Amino acid sequence: MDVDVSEESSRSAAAQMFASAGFEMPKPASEEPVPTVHPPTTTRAGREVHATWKVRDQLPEAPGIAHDDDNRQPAPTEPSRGQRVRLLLTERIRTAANRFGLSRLYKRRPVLPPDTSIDLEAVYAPTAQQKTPKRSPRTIRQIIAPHPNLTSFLFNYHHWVSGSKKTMDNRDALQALLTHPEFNAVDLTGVNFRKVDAELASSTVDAPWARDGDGWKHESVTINVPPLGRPSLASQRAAAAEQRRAMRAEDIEVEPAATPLEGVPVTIPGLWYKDICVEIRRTLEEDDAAKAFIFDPHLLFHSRPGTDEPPEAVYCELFNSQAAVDADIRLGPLIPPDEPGCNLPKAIAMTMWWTDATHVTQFGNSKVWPGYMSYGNETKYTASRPSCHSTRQMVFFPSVRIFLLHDGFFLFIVVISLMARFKRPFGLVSAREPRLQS
Amino acid sequence: MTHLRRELFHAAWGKVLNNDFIHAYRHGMVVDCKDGVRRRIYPRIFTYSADYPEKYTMFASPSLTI
Repeated sequence: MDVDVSEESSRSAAAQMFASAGFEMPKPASEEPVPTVHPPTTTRAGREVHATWKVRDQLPEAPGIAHDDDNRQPAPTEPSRGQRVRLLLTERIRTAANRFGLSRLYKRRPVLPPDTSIDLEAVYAPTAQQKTPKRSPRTIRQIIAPHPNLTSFLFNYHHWVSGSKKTMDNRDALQALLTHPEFNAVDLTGVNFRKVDAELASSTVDAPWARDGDGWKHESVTINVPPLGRPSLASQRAAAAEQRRAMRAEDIEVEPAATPLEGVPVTIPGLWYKDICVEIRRTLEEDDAAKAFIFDPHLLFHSRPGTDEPPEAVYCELFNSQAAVDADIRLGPLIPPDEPGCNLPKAIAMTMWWTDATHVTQFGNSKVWPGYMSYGNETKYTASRPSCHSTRQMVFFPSVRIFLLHDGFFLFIVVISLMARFKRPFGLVSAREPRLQS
Repeated sequence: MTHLRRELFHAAWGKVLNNDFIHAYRHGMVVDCKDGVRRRIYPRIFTYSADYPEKYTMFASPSLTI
């Protein structure tokens, strides 16, 4: 406690000194929370044992109060595409260091003031037991699909769950089914259960894109399979002209090849994706986590107290990175808005993507290739919690198997989709000229 | 065949980054954010993580080259 008192007195002395010199000393962020001092315990040998750094209460703390350095300085100019030089003006707004010696540096005035208080209870509330709200509650019709009604669902459920032997429990279950208040034998007439089973087995019912309201779209992708044989004369001429054009920067006219697309187009189904704009809009407008999103990128610096060492950059989050700050400045929040009649603050939705092709079965070759998106505006401490559902499934790329078939005379390229729904060879394809091994 | 995989992958991304996205990338889109501020949001892609086999699919390079 002695240490605290002396620190306090030295601080006030420094404040007086600054005040007499006409400066205002940046106040610490909060006067109230006195750091909990863990008294050193003494061992039997008389040695003092201090609590480790981790054990002491190191609560997260808000940044210090912002004060303006007020020296506007132009950032390095960068020539844009049309030989136009754009001067990017930046401000420097630095917050005072908090107790950890961390200060923020904004290159422009933040739209929202930095959060001056942190709700510790909310940060530390255990989330493992919390029930997360379902994003899109399903209706009963969606749950029992592809069964046309509840009776047929109960009937089919009983059929598949009861097992292959007749047991007493089985009889009880049948009795419970037939006396179920929702059971109406009339509903069973005309239901084709073999077709329902086939639909269930095709596993498209539980697919993520089968949920309504999530905005999944399906498209087919067309790619161009090049011919296996020698290129035609027209395409050779076009390629040679292209090469000369690149070498000598000449503009050579050449008559276009007879078929503009060389090779054979193959259409491959199985691309499922969500519209990125729709998903971003939905997240920012509806997701509770978006309340804490950070739209003012800033740099983070750490300066060791009591030393003259220059502050050290801290790499922590995406919105602390130089890339984020640069992109934000390049957006030009400081220059007048370029959208006519729009005075809204500009901000970046920073997206981070990852993809990983996965085998979905232990045996067999079914494969999916999902792509995920998460937000760099969200602090990583929130985003990494599984219960926050902060990573979005955005894309399923068509996963295919491509191989060559050789029938002794012709060489074929075969494209097979590995997605269960499209599991048939739809690829073709092409052998314009036989390529024979001698 | 690696060329075909590359073509397929890039064609798929061409569909995903559709015209709406390009428009929003250039001109932004007005969103009422959850923190109470109406902003003009510009989507940007900052990072893309993929493992090694996917990487050489994307660039159609033969495997075991960097």
